[in-house]
Amino acid sequence: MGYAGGEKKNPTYYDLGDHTETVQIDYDPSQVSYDDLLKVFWEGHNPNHNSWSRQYMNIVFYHNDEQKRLAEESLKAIERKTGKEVKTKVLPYTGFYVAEDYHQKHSLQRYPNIMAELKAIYPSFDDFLKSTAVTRVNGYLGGYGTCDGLKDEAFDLGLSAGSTETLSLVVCGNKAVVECPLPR
Amino acid sequence: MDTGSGSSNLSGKIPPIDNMVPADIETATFSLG
Repeated sequence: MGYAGGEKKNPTYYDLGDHTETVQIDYDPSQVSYDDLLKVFWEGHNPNHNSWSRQYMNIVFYHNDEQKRLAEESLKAIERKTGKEVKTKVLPYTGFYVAEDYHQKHSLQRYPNIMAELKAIYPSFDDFLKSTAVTRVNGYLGGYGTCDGLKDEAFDLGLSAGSTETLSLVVCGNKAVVECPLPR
Repeated sequence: MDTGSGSSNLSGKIPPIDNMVPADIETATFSLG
């Protein structure tokens, strides 16, 4: 979570300048394609909606020519399908400022024991944010994951038995489901 | 709600999944108003 698209140096939530609230994702292209991410993006907002402020706009920031091509093609496909002009922007990526700590990993913040455990592993908040384990645990706690998925990777998330029980309770409704994850 | 039992080991050990990150990751950036 952060800010992008503007020229103001070091924006903050309360002094955003000409930036827009933005999510930045590092992904493994062998596991998920840019087209997959675009699909989630287009399904996550109304592309015919006129943004009412610079803070909250719908934008794809492309990092290279391939991303630009795919983003523009997907935009045109939506226009053809709906017959309506898409207001969402496709713009070149010019930089990204990470937002304040309290804007990050919202779902995880509701579980301070798990948060503390992961922060003990990653005392640097930058390292904490870049952790795949942190991101996936946050996703599970936010309702984005399945019980079978959690069973498959519970050990790899590196949590204690107590935190794994909590996660299992949230995702599976039963803390015993992945109580004793086994190493692969 | 945090129902954690408080029995965390806080070992500081890097989660296995974080040691599986491939070298050739890519970055995507989106704004959702």
